[in-house]
Amino acid sequence: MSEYVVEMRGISKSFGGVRALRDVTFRSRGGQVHTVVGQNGAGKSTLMNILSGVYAPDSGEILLDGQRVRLASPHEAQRAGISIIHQELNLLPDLSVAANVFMGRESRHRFGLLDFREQSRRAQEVLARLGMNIDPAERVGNLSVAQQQMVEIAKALSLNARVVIMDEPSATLGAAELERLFEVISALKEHGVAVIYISHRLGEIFQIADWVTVFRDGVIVDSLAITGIDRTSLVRMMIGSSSFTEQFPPRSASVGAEALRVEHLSCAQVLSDVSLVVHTGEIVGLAGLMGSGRTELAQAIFGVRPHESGSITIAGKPARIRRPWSAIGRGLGYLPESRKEEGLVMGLSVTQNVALASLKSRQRLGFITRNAERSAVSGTVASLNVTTPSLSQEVERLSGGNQQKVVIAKWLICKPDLIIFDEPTRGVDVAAKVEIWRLMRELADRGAAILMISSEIPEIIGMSDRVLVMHRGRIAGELSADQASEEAILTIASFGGSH
Amino acid sequence: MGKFLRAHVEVVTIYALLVVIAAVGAVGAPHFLKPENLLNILLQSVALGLVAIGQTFVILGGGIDLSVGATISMVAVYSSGLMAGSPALGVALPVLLLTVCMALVVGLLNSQLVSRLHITPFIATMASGSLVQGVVLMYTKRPKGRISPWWGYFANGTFGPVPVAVLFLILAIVAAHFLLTRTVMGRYIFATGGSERSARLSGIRTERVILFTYLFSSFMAALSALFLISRMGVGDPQVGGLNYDLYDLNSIAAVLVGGTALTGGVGGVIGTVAGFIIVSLLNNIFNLVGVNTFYQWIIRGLIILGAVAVYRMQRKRA
Repeated sequence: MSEYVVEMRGISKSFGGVRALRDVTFRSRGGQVHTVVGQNGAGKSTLMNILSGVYAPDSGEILLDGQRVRLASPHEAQRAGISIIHQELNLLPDLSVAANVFMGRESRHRFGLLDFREQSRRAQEVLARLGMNIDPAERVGNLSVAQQQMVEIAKALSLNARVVIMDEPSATLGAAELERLFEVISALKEHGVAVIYISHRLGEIFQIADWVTVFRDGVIVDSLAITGIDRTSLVRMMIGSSSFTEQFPPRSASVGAEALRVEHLSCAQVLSDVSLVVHTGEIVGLAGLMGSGRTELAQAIFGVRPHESGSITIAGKPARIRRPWSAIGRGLGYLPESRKEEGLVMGLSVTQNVALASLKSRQRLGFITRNAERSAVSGTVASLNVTTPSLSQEVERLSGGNQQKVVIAKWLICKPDLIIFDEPTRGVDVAAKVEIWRLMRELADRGAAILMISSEIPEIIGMSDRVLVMHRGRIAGELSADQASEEAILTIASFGGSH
Repeated sequence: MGKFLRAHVEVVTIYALLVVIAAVGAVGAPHFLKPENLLNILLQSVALGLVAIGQTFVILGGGIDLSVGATISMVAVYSSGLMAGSPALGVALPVLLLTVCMALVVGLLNSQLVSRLHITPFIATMASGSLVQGVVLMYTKRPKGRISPWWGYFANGTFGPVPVAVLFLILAIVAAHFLLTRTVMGRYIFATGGSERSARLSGIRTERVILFTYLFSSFMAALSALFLISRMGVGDPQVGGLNYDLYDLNSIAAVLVGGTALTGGVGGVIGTVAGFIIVSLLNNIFNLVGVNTFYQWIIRGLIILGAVAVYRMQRKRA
C-alpha cells in the first residue's frame, strides 16, 4: 500500500512542437495540502489536466493508491476518485445545490423517478461533513462565488474523491471567504483527501500548504515541505537563472512631457485608487499576476469600462472618456488582450481590418476613398512586414504573429499619441516578437507614449523604461529600469507592496 | 478568372443554382421562356426583393427583422386609407411621407429594443411586428381606401418594354450594393456583424450602425408596400402576411440562401438578389407545371437547407 494517494511518474507532454512537460514525477499524500506554483506556461496546468483526464500524457504513468490507472477522459478520472475544481466553476446556476452536487448521479425512487427528499438529505450530509452552512434547496445562482466554490468541493467529496485539485481557488475570494475556504480544506484533509492547490498567491501558499512543488519550463525544480523554504527562495526557484535569449531594442535615454496622467482611478472591485503617469517617448511596463487589474485599468482608460472615481488627463487636458470612440478622438489607441475576439473582425480582409479605426479620415460624403485607403494600408502593412498573399486575404487565415501585426497596423494608421498594448506578443512567433518590439521602441522614439501590459517578465524588463507592478487592483510598486529584476517584479506581484 | 471565382465562391454557387433552376424551368415548364412569363417573374420579385435587400443589411449587422411583414401591411393600409382615392398631389404626397415615417418609427423601435434594452433581435422584432399588426387591425380589418389613380404607374407603368417597378428594383439593388461595399457605414455594418466587440473597440458607434440597419429595413418594407398598393389598387391589412410566413420568413430565406451568414459579418446584396429571384422562379415554375403544394414546400425546404449547408462547409474548409 503506497504512502502516496497519487503518483505521476515520468510524465512528458508536447503540443505540436512545444514541450509542455519533460519527464515530470509528482506525488501527493493523503491528508495533506500540496501546493503547486510556477509562472504561466511552466507546466502546472498541463500536469493537472493530465491528472484530471483532459489530456493523455505522451509518456509516463499514473498510480492511485499504488495501482496503475488509465485516465482516458475526465469522466474516468472522476470515477477513479480525482476531482478538479476549475477557476470557472462548473455549476448550473438555475438548479439547486443538491441537484448540482449529485448531477449525473441523482437519487432515484424505485421506478427511476427523482427522489428529491433523499437527494436533499444526502446533500445535507455532505455539506455538514465539511462544516458548510448552505441550504441544499437553495438555487446555486443566488449563492456568492465563495459559497459556490464550497458546493463544488461538496460535489467532489460526494464523489468520494481521493484527490481534489483546486485551480486558483482564491482568485475571487475576499479575506473572510478565504478563511472559510481554508477551514473546508482542513476538513478535507481530515477525510484523508490529497488536496492539490494551484495558486499564484504566494502569500496564501504559506498559510495553507504542507508541501510545495515548483514548476519551471516544463520540469519540477523542487518539491519540499513548506517549512523548508522561505519566500525569497521560493520566488528565486520560480524564476531560475534568467538568460535573455531574446533581443530587445536599446532603451532610449530621453523622455518628454506628460502624455497621460491617471489619478485615483477606482472601479468597483477591480481597481482601487490607481494613479500613474506616462510620458511621451516612454515605454511604461505594467506587470502583475492574472487578475491583478491590468487589463481592467487599460479598459478604464480607453473608455471600455466605466470608472466611479478618479480622473484622466491627456496631454495636460482633462479627459472624460466614456466610450472607445471618444478615447480614439483624444489620440488613444488600444491593442486588446485577445486579438481574435477584440482586435480583429475575422470575416474581413487585411485591408478592411487595418482601415477599421480610421475610416472617417479617408472618406468623402460617406464614400470610402479607395486609393487613399489602399496606399495607407499597403504602406503600413509593408513597414510591419506582414506576410500575406494579398491585402484582400481574410485575416482569419494569417498566422498569430501576422494577425497581431494587423491589429498594430490598425492603430499605427491612426497615429495615436498614446498606445496601450495588452500582451503584445502573446501567441506570436519569435521573429515577429522581435519585429513588434522594434516597432514599439520606434513608436516611442517618434514621440508616442506607450503603456505595455505583459505577463512575460523578461519582456517587461527588456522593453520598459519604467515598471509599474499591480497587485489586487492597486499599483503595488514602481521600479526604474535598473531596479527591475525578475525577482523584484515577481515578489511585488505576488505579495503586494510590503511583505 | 479562377481567382475571382475562388474569392466569390458563395455568390457564384448561388447563381449557378439559379441558372440550374431556370434551366429546369425552361425544359420542364410550358411557356416558361415566353417574354411575358419572364417579365412576370421579375415583377413578382419586386415586393420580396425590396424587403430582402433591407433584411440583408439587418442580418449583416448581426440582427434579424421579423417585423417587415407587419410594417408592409401598415404602410399599405394607411397609405391607401388616407389617400382615399384622391388624385390630388397635395393629399397623396403628405400621406406617402407620413406612412414612410410610420415605418421608420418601427425601425427606430426595433433598434432601441435591441441596442438599449438588449433584447435579442429575433424576439424584439417578432414582438414589434405583432404590435404593428395590432395597430393595423385596429385601423381596419379589411382592405381599405384606394390609391391615387396615378400611383398605379409605379407598379404597372413601363419604360419601353421594361416595367418601371423592375427598373426601380434594379436601382435599389445597385444603390444598396454601393452603400454596403463603398461607404463607411457599409464597412461599419460588416464589422458590427462580424464582431461587435472588436468593432466597438475600434471606435465604431455600434448602436448607430444597428439603428441604421433597422431603419433601412423598415424603409425598404415601406417601399415594398407602396409597390404592392400600386399593383393592387388598395391596401390590405394582411398583405404582409399574418404569421410571419410571407415577407418575413421569405426575406430571411432569400438572404440566407444568397450566402449571407445568419450571424452576420459576411455576405451581401448580390447574393440576396439570387436568393429572391430563386424564390420567384420556383413559384413561377410550380405554377406553370402545376406542382402539388406538398412538393412545393419540400423543394423549397431542401433548397434552403442545401444552400446553407453548402455555405457552412465552404466556410469550415476555409
